[in-house]
Amino acid sequence: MPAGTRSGPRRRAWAALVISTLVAVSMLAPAITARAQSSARVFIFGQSGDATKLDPALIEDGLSSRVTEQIFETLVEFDGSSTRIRPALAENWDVSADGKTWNFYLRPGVRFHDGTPFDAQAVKANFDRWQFQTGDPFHKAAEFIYWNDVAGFNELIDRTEVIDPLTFRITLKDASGPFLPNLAQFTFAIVSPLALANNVEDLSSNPVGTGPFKFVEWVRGDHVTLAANPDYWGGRPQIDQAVIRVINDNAARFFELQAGNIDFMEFPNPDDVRFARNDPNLQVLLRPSLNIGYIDFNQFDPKFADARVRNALAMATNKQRIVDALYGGTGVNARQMLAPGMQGYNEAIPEIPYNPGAAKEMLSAAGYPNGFTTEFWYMPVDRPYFPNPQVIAQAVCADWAAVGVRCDLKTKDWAAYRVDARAQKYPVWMLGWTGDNGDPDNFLYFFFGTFSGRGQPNYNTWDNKQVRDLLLRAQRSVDYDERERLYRDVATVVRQEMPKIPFANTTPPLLARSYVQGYYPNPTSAELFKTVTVDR
Amino acid sequence: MLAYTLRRFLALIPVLAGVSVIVFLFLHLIPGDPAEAMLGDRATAENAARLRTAYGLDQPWSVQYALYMGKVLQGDLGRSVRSSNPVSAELAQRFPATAELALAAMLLAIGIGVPAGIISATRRGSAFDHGSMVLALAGVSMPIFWLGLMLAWFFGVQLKWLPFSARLDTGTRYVPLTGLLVIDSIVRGDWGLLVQTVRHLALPAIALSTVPMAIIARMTRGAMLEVLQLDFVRTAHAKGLRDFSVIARHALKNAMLPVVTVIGLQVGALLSGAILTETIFSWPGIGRWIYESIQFRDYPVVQSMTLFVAAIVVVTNLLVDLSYAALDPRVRYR
Repeated sequence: MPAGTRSGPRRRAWAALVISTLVAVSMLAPAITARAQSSARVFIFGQSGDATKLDPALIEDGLSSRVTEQIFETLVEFDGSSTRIRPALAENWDVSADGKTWNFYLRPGVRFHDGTPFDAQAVKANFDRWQFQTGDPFHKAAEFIYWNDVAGFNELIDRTEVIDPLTFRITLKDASGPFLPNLAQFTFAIVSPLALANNVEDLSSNPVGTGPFKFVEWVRGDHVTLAANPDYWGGRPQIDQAVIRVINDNAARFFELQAGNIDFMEFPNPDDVRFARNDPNLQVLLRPSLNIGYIDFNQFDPKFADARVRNALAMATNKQRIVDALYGGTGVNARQMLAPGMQGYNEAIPEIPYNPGAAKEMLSAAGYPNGFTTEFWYMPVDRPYFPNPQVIAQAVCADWAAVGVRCDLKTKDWAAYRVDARAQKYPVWMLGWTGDNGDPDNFLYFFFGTFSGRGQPNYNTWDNKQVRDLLLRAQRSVDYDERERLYRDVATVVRQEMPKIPFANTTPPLLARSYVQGYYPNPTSAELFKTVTVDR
Repeated sequence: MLAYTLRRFLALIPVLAGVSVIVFLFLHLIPGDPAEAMLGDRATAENAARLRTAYGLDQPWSVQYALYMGKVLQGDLGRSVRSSNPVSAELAQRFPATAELALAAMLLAIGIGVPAGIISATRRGSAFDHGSMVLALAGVSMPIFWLGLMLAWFFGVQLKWLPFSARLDTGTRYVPLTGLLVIDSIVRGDWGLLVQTVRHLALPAIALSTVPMAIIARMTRGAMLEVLQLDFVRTAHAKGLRDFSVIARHALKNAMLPVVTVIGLQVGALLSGAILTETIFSWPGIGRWIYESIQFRDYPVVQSMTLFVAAIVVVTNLLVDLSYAALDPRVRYR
């Protein structure tokens, strides 16, 4: 074949290759990040998913509340890194002797982002919306999940009144210990009544609050942009803009942090936390613990109805070793069903001793000298209180095997897992809890406060009236010391009976570029960007 | 031809109806529902029931299905339980991102896969042939998740050459025209935006194109090898035609039939691959949306999106079928 017949196309092919390479290289050339293009002080937060809505009354997830908490404010709020309550839109408050009548004295001179004044009428408009759906025909009462299901305000609040432009009164049907911390939750943020009147059907596209940041845009699935509110009553934030970017994958989010494309991230993988500790460009912040991972027993199963069996398995578990090995330095061996430092946490209660010998004896006394076989259900997803649940379950079961209790390890889809746990379909299962407001009622009443009987959906299968009465008394009290005493008593009974094995409390890690200052991790995750600085 | 096309389009209706029933049934068979997912661990039986009533989930599934399909036929895809947003509005915002990514990946897959297959076939047994087929095998077997993360780490974190998340740099404001950023930036003559768009597209498109590219390359090679042995190719060579002409005008056209079929089938693979690619590269498209919606049991979104994706796949394959006539004059439609 003559050489010329091939050289034409081949030359063309080479030319095409060279041109396409040049184009590709020219695309790489402007390898600059958005940061270099702008001199504005922008704080970029990488979060693991998108907000669902920006109407605070309707949301129930941390991804949405991270955004709304910057735009809206509540009457009272959590203080920095603790769950202490501090004034926010209410400068101060008082409560009647019977604990039922609360007067809130509102901050004067505050305006919503739309320029309308914040006053007691505005607060009343919001409470009426939650309570009676007044002015909101679009959202059904059942959608106000925190109002109904978390705080139980639909049952608790009798009426609300405007006393004068800066005094708002809430009258309760019963005294309530956790009332104030419940009120500090993101969902009870005050929305501009004008925005409610104009666009209540979709406040998400036009969220108007009083907070330190104003809403700019929300590109769904991608990012939310907020701009500093120059007229904020607490002083203009130090950053000009906050951008909350959605980066679902934990590893990809960490890459973005390493590359300097974001300033802050949540939910790092444990290995990345170790890596970040050794990187001078990064810092690790720990969110104070407000969670607990536990192993639950179905007490409708005769084996686990016996407190000796439950105590034996608690003693057979070398929790300290497992926490040391698998929690990446962010967990502690839990002693009771609260997080350390919470009201009612009984310091007098020691760690559950690891003692397989005593556990074996206790099992023999309960009628199981040769142990038994049980299904052991572990969660299919990582949670802050159980990083890598499968490996933790294997470690627990290895300990139990040493005292003769053999596990059949099982799991299923996360949504189905929870439904079946509540339907009491498992004999033994792992689960955990992250608190909403730092109040012990939010933990202990959920764990043990109600008992529904066999077959009724309820995580609690422990029928203990004494504890239920103590919890109800504590819930109805506004006397701090009395509540403290009642919760400590509950902890003592729970330790003796071991209805669940408290496994670990963790301090969830957050990662940031080293120049980020003024970010205060809060146990409830209510973290405000108004104090953040980014001096690169 | 016209009658055939019409008949095929009408046949799509039972296919899509079947898909909608299957999706609906499967969604309702798996435990958990939006009320449980939203209320989480706080749900008491009464509150979950109240929320179910609010969303109409307490009706028999047949009633729910009839209500849903009645709305779909009127062009109403319902509202997301999770965000309260109309599904169609969110689809309009998110689909261009997926379409652009899938098109870019498909262009890469065809642009590299077909020539690689041709060269491998014409130089059978050469180093190029062996090398490209080993790469193709690797491409088919490489988990997209792993490859995506490696690309992000190497080109994004280590070399800092390319961005590896989102469609644009943080802080870039953009008002969509078609939603396809490449088209929009060209129409507006905004070359800076075009460069930014292509840079952001590069890594996710490469990751998503790997599997189809490998399959297309292998299929092209196989089909070409078969055709190159046929008599008419030998005749063409004997007539003194150039190699390029023989391959491009004669052999390739005959070999394209199975390749085009495979390309059509890859549309489905691209859309399912988009779920992982969009998750790794934080791409605000429908893949990630479907994934999140399944987790939250957001029935209206999952149902409508599955139907939408199924429609794309079956329509694409219908178009592929119709293209046979253009490629092979022996094919006649009746």
